[in-house]
Amino acid sequence: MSRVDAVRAAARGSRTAQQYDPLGAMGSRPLAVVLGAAGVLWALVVSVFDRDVVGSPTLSALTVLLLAASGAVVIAASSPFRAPFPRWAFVLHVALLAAASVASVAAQWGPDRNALNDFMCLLTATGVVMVAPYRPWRDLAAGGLALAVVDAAAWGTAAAVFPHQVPVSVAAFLGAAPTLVLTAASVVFAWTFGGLAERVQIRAGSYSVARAERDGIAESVQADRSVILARDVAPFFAELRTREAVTDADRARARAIADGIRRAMVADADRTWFEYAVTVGGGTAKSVDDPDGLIATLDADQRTVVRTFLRAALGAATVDPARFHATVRHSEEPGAPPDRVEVRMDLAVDDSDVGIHRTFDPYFAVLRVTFPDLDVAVRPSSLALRFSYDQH
Amino acid sequence: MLGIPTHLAPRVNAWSTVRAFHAAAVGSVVAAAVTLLLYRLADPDVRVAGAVLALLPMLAMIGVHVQFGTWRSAVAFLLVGGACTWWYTTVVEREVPAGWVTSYLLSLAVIPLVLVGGAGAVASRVVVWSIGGFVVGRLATAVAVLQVGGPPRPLVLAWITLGFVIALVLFTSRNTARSERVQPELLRSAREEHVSAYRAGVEAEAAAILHDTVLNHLGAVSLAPDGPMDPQLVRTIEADVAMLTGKQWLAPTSPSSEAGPDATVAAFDAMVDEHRAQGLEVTVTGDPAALSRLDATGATALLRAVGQCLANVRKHAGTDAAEVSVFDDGASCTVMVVDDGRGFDEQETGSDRMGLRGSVRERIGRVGGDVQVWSSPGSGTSVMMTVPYARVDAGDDGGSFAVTGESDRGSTR
Repeated sequence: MSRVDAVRAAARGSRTAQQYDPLGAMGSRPLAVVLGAAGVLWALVVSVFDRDVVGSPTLSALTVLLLAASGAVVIAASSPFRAPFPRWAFVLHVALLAAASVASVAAQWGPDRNALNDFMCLLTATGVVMVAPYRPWRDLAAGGLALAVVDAAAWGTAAAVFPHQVPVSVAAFLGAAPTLVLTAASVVFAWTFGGLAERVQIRAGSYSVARAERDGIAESVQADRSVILARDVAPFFAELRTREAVTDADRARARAIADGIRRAMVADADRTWFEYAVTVGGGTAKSVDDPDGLIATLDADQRTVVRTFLRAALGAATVDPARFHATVRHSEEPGAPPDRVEVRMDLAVDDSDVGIHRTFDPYFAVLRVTFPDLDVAVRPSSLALRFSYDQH
Repeated sequence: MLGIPTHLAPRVNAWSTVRAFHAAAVGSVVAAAVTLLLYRLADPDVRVAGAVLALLPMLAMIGVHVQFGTWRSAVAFLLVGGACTWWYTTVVEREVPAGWVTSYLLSLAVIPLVLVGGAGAVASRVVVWSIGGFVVGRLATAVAVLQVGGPPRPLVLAWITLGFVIALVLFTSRNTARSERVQPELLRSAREEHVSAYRAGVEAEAAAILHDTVLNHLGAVSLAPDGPMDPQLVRTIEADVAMLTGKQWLAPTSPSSEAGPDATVAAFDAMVDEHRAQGLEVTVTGDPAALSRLDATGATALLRAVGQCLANVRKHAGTDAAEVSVFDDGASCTVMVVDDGRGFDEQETGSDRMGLRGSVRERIGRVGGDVQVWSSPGSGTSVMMTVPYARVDAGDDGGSFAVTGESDRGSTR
């Protein structure tokens, strides 16, 4: 296996479809919502109308509540506003489903002649599918197997205590089978997606500047410099050549021109890409408070994502670029590594919080995957973003 | 990473979904076989060998369809799968006593027919194939149940699977309008990122050139004694102004600009001679031919940086002698410029002094090299510049350009 393949395989095992394609995961989120809602509705209907065993209505209600809670966890954690889907949410989702599965069997404790009306063996299976775009294949496999074991234990116990034509081993396996099958499907989905995405994903580093464009840039820079040369330097030197001797006035003028050029050169050299992007977007360089030029230590992908948000934000009809402000500092969080940098951006937005979400949620989805600690504060008429990163 | 290009995202998603369907189909067949075998182990009166055998051709045809993925293989799978489902149903109906288990088992055989057919990336085609597979499975089981004389089987699991497939395909195959708007923005930014980095490199090189020429001359004029200007300074000013206002003095490196190894060594000698002509006693040691192994961009940057170091010695070191040593360490070319002048403290060099920063450090950095300076007041100065032969561009494309025109003559650190 080549080094590239090894890196790809490692990435494939730890990254999720949501991390590879945050915008695509955002598009498939309605499926999680529909599956969650449909599962709760089905559980509710079956609990009320289609139980063979009267059992415990309280436990039936608890089953539906646990199921609803697991759905709520997925719906909340899959929001692009909170991306990426955290492992603790996945663990909680699995634990709630497992508890619901046990509660469901306990709710109809007795000789069940048609175990197919126990919806939980199917809903634990769809529960794994719901989170397939959001967790890596290893997590899906572990979570799915855990749920299958719980289903098998619950169904097997019920079949052992209340035997009814079906052998215990068969009942236990049938309880686990849907979850095993859909876990396999989810794992294959996550694995295949990771493999394909590794090959086709957009990397800022994969772009290059075409030869023609290089020529254009060089010409443009040369033209900029030529203005200074033609306006100040060339006439001075031409005039100097006509003199027989250098005077104090000539020396003073030479110093003045040199100081002006040097000041412009130092300012250019110290200006970061971020200040340039803000200026191009209609803001002012003064609105960027980054005395140490720390924003320059973002890597190419991170810069690309920040640049995309910045352009969208400053170009939005509801945003006044003049009221944009950004602060970049070494992180002062207790326990933060010394090379940790914290970025804060504040914007005045002439829109409601709902409108701000509607406009910027896709950008938050990409930003959150790039900067997992992104904190977004949305209030009517204002938007504040804070994130941190390690210097590269 | 910035996501998947808009035009590829639906294909990646659809292909991953199709693979997941195939896995679920195989899983469903295996689950049916395992259930039957468990039944057989628990109850020897239940003879399920025929049903398990019926699943094997279906499993084989899934493999064939996964391998070939054509509409012909899909049709073949539906035909073989339909026949296998009929065979399987007749055995299960006869042998398995519990009604709900029978229905469950029949669904497990129909589910692969629902899942395997659609092998394309087009959502509507997947849905049509799934419905077709469901109809084939439903017909096969219905015929077998009628033949055996069993009760009607609802096949709830198969119905749920069909609904699930349709919902999954329809939801996962669509891209939201907002996603389609943002993805090209990311692409645009990725491109801008490179253009910006490249432009920054060109601007830095332009600044270094201006520093080494115009600022140097202005400094010389500001310090010139009363009387006529030094003829050498006049000649240099005229040449540089003509170059800077005339031809293309900033241009990307091209193969044609690579004048060859001999030219590099000749340019090095000319640069050293120029400083000698201005009164600096320069001793060259080591192997200057090592410079010839550098590419045009690396050689240009290194020669200009060495020139700036010698200019610094001449102007600031308070000595009229310097040594230039050239080494070849196999992977890179190293040049050391050493003087025993008054030295300086780099930390105390003003931030507006661009000589060492722009014309040496950043210039060498742009071609992937490294600069080390050893100096302190009173102990002379040593500047070591290392440029790799197989150059890795620092800052993306930022270093891939050279400057044509006059050589460097610097004045400030």
